Amino acid sequence: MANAAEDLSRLLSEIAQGNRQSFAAFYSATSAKVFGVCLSLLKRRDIAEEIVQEVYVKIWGKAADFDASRASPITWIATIARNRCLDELRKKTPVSLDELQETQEFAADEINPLAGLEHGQDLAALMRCLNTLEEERKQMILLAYYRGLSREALSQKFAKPVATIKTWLHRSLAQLRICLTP
Amino acid sequence: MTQLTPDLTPTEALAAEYVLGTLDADERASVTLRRATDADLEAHIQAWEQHFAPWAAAAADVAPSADLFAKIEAALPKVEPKLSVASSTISVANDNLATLKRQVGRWRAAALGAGALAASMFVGVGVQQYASLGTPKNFVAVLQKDAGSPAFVVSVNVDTRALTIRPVAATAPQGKSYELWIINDKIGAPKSLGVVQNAGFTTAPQLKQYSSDVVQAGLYAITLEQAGGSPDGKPSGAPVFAGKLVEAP
Repeated sequence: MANAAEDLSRLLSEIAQGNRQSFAAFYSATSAKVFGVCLSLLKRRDIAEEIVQEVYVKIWGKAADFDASRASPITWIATIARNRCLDELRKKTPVSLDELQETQEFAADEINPLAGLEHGQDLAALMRCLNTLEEERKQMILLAYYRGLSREALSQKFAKPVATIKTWLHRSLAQLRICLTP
Repeated sequence: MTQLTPDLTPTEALAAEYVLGTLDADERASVTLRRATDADLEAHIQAWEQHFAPWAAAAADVAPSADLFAKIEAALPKVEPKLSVASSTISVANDNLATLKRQVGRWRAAALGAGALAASMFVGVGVQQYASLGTPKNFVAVLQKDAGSPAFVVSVNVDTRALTIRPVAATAPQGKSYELWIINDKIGAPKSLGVVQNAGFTTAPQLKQYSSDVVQAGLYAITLEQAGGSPDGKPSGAPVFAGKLVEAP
């Protein structure tokens, strides 16, 4: 799998030179992941596709900014897409209860184990640390990360005041950081 | 409970929640602008992105519509990719840039000669242009992307809160406008100071509504927006240039 990352890094350096074929190859290797990230946050295919389009146009111009020492290509583009989709998600009106029903519980096994192979050990460590949290807080973190639930939405979901959710978030994140920092 | 877990610092907590995705729209917009010039915040964001990277990579794949790539290709700019992104869609007038670099060099030399603290050139450091005029309430910031590309000069009188900005080496692309923002924790989300004209001096009367300490401590940032400025009063992306005011030596 390290080769896949190397191949994508090479494609990015070619894209930075304006190579359209490399851009097409990079798109076909990464678009399902990027679209998956955005769709899980935005729920609507049409909006998610609009943002994915924007993200790839941005990648075309920003490929030279990719730094292989900081992230794998897939993590890099997934992070760019996630940030852009979260911005879009937050632009909308506060979450409605109807919308909330759809989010339901988040099962940790929804995470695609094969796609994470490149991050096998890191993923295992992250899941191990997540599992040190109490069940409700674990759900809270996963719903925030994969479903884009805001503090307000989490407050409704868990029937707790927003201030309590904020405290839970900060404690949980502090606990994760301790567990993840070697 | 987890009493033994040390709390996150406010900056760490902000970075962690930004990456987790729980911040509201205003907080996200503020972080997006601040991270460009706040090295501590940026470092924490990167650390959290690394912590959660396995989840980003492990998200379930979903194929987008078959025609999406054709739309993306059609939307690609016709010019060289390096000139195509918001952060670099700057047609740099080389002569102006060279002039400004020379001026900056002179300001630095003057500051050194005066025995004042030398203002080293990095993002966020402003240079006092009018030191020799003896007007201590006038401040100047050079808004730039990095040390080599100053693009706007902002001058502010902190007493009257009068601000003028002029482009030095930046012209908004066709159909786009540069918009100036002030960012400070005390005023919440980034606040617009208006659209910057492509040439000459633009004044920003909006600055008068903020207190002198906000004006003085604020971060000034430029984003690229649709023509006429952001439609919803919020920056639509990361800043392309930013800088802070520095008092006269």
